[in-house]
Amino acid sequence: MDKVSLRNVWKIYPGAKTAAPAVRDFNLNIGDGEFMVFVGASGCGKTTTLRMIAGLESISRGEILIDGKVVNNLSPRQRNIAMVFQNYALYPNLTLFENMAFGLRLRKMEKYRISELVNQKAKKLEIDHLLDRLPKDVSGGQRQRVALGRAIVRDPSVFLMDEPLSNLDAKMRVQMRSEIIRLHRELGTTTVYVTHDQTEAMTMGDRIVVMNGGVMQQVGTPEEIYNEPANRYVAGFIGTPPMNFIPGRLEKTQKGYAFSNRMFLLDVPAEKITPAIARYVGRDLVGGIRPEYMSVRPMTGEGRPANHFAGRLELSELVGADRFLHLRYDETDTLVPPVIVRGSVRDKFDPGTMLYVTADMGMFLFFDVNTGMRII
Amino acid sequence: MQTRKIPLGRKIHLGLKHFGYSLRHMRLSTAVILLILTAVALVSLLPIVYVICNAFKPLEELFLYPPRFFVRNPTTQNFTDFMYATDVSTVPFTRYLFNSVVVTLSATALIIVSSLCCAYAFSKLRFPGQKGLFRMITIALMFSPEAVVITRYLVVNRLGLIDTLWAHILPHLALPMGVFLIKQFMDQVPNSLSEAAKIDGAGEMRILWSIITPAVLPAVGAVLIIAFQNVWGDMSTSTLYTVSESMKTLPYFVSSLTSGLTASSVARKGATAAAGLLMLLPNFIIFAVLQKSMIETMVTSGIK
Repeated sequence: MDKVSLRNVWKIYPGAKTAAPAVRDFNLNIGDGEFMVFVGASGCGKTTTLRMIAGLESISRGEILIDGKVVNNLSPRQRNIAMVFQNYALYPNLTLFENMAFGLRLRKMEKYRISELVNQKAKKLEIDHLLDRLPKDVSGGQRQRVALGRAIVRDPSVFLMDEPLSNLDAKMRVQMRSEIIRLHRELGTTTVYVTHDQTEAMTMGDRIVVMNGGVMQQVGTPEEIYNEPANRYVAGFIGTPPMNFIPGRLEKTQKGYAFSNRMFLLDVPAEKITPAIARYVGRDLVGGIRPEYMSVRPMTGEGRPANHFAGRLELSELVGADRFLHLRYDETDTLVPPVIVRGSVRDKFDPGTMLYVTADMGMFLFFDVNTGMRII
Repeated sequence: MQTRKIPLGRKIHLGLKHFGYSLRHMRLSTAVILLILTAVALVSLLPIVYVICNAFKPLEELFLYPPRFFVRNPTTQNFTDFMYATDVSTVPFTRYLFNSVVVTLSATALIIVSSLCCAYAFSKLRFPGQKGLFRMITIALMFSPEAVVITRYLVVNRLGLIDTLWAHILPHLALPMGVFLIKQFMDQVPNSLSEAAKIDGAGEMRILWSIITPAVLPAVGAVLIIAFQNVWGDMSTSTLYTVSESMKTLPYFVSSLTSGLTASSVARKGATAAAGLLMLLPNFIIFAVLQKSMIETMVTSGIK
């Protein structure tokens, strides 16, 4: 059975400046024990959706079910959920112990049970030696652990996490990320996790929901989202550096099919030509290819590689093991953005050098110019 | 004999350390401002010093012309006089004191509770008409109590509270300033705190008392000062809403010491001076204890 279900959920703020709903017709089933990540740019409605599940925000239309029960009109306390907030939201006047015990005390649990549970969970999170301190006396990472502890100590049926790592420094974030994954594996509690950080989404989620403008763009496993993005938004949002989008046209040639524009003509392998794409022959579309599926080589005499185009190196960024090469293939039109190739450290060239860019056409994706939807 | 030389280059701290200033590094403009502020502070201190001095002046010094500011031969005779002054009145001094203490304590407590509840509703809850209601409270800040004295009398009268202690308490209860100050402070408490408590299973009252109130204690302290001063020093409720002497409060008694009784007013000059100090003392103590929270609140709320 699905743990959490959202059916045609809308959120419309009365009196909002824009008529556009904050969340539009959202449908999702989250399985028991699943780690679901909502990802999107700020203002995309991911937090609003989470808050509707939590009961902190009313639902304008549609219904939300937790454990098969419609919870639209239930208060947060009746939904048996726990939430971790971006700013931790620890009660500043209570010790860490009391912070974790607060929910249990409200449930009239016996004192010895409370102290047993809190100490046990605190040990798990390695904060048991800090329990008599106030939140202001511990570090950000420790506060985050307490916030997690406060959530797990109640043993809720769903965890909701609203950008819990965004207030931490980079190193701490990586550490807490793996800690949350470990915790999820141990407890197996259904988790809904909101983030704007695609790395977090990719590394943590069993499935990912990509949102934009209050609309769910795609839901799928990290692999699906990365390799088979539903549309240009998802393709461009996930991945660093982002996918390259190259405007062009699908043409029939003597050898088969080719993707071409003013500057080049790239053969498209026959197995990629499905009925869906065949309808686009002779029409404009947008090609998409990830930086890692392209490579560069210097323009030396030993013949031209197949399926290549030429580009002038504009910028070369060394990021540890990789080197991102920004190449301009259409120098006549400055509005055409450069393509980014993920090269190796050895691909060291001076800016301004002309290079051959080879694309792995098997990994090429095509998007509709107007709708932005992926064709193949 | 060896002389100790003070190195000239050393910073001289004159108790300004926690302002981050040292005299050497102070700019001229800052120094001028500090001087002016010190002068203003001294001037505003004068009446308090004067009341204290007066309370301890023997009669001949009280009637000295031209009057002398400081006391020469301090005496506690005035306090004795003050205690005896009540002998002639039908109601003992302690009754006024009792009334004042009961009224002030209960009114202050009620003002704080009602201001907290009201501010919480405005700051953390959403309900129709919220903006309009809060605007009304802000407007109410502008009215002096004298402007609504007739309507107040009518309300107290209709409620049948004339000549009861409630008549002293009730008119003070709605303190727009209290609601306003606490609300402004509460707005700075992140909503996620109350939301976290809500998810933990707390009701609104529990959230207000256990989570929000501890976070706005400075504002509560400030409101306590204001409320206390309003109620403790208020004579109007005694003159307007009470008839029998046994229901009147201390400020009324103190003022009646001098007014009306022309024949004995000379004799009671010293008692009045002592009473003045006694009336001032609680205010003084409360402010001394809570001044930090008062200043903090005033700075963050932008009100003077």
